[in-house]
Amino acid sequence: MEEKNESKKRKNYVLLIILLLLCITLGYSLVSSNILINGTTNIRRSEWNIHFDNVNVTNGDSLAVVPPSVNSQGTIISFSINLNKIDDYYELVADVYNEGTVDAKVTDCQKIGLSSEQEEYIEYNITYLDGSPINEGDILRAGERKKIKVNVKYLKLLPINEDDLNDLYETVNLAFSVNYIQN
Amino acid sequence: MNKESKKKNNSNTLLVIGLLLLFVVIGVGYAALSSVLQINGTANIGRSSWNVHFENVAITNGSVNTENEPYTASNTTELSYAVDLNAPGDFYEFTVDVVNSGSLAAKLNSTSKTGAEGYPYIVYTVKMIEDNVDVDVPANLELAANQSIKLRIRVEYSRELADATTINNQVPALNLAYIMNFVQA
Repeated sequence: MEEKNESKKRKNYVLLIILLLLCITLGYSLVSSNILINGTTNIRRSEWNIHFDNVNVTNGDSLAVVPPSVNSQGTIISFSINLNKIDDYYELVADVYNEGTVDAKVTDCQKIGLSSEQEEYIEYNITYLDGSPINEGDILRAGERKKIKVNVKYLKLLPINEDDLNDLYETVNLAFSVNYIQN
Repeated sequence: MNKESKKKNNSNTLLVIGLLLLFVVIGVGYAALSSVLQINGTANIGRSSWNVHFENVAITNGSVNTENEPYTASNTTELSYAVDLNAPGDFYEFTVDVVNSGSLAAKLNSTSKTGAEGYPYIVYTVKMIEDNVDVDVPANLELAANQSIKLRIRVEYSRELADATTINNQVPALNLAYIMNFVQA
C-alpha cells in the first residue's frame, strides 16, 4: 500500500515537472521575439597604385641623348644626357601620383651617384617642384599628385684625362629611389 | 605520455601554427602595400679639351696657280703650300681660320714669320682680318672656347721693289714659315 502511494506520488511529481516545463516553454515562447537589425555595408575594394606621371623636360632638351622614358608600371624614369660645357643644365619634372584608394607615406629615399670629388663639378638634385626636399614621413593621400623635379648642372670643367687625351667624357650614373608604404 | 598531455601538446602545436599563419598573412598584407619609385639617369660629362687648329682655307682670286695648295683636314695644325712666282706682280694669297674648338681658352704666346729675309722684293705678310680690315696679329690675342679668327697670308713678287738685278738673279726656293704658339689662357 505504501509503495503504491509512493509510486503515485512520484508520478505526480513528474507530471508536475512536465507541466512546469510546458508552462515555462509556453511563457518563454509568448515573451520571446526575434528582433533583427538588417544592415547593408558596401565594402569598397582597396587599391594601391603609386606611380610617375606627366614626365616633362623643362630645361636642356637639347642635352638629352635620348628623351626620358617611363617603364610600363610607371615606377622607373630613365634618362641620358650630355653635359658638354660649364652651365649646361638639364631639368625634368614629373608627377608622383597616388592613383590608389589608400593614403601613402615616404619611408625611405636615397640619392646615389656622385662622389665627393664629382660634386665639385656636377650639381645633382631631386626635390619637390618648389625646391623643398623629399622627406621620410611625407604623406601622399589617395588621389593626390605631387610634382618633383630632377636637375643636373655642370659647374666646373672636368680636367683633361692626361692618360688618354681622346677620352673626352666622363660618364656618371645618377640614381634616386623613394619608397612609399601605406600611411 | 597520457592522453590528456598528448591532447594538450596537439592544441599547443595548432596554436603555434595558427599564429605563424597569422604573421605570414600580416607580412604579405604589409608587403603588398608598398612601392619603390626610381629615377635612373646617365650623364656624360665633357672633359676639358685643347684644340686650336686651322680651318677653311680659301685661295684669293688672282693668285698664281699651283698644284700644292694648302688644305685642311680634321684638326689641321700645319699648312703647307708650294708656289712659283715667276715674274714681278705674281702673288699667292689665301685666307684661313684659326679655330679654338676646345673647351679651354687659348692665348697667343708667340709668333714667328721667317723665310723671306734678305729678299726685300718678296713681300711676305700675315695679317688678321678684323671687320674686313687687315690688321697686325695682336701679341696679346686670346681665343675663347669656340672662337675663331681669320688670317690672310700673302706672298708677292713685288713689282715695285723688283729691278733688273732681282729679275735676272736666280732666287732659290724660299721656305716661308709662320708659326703661332698658343697656350692656355
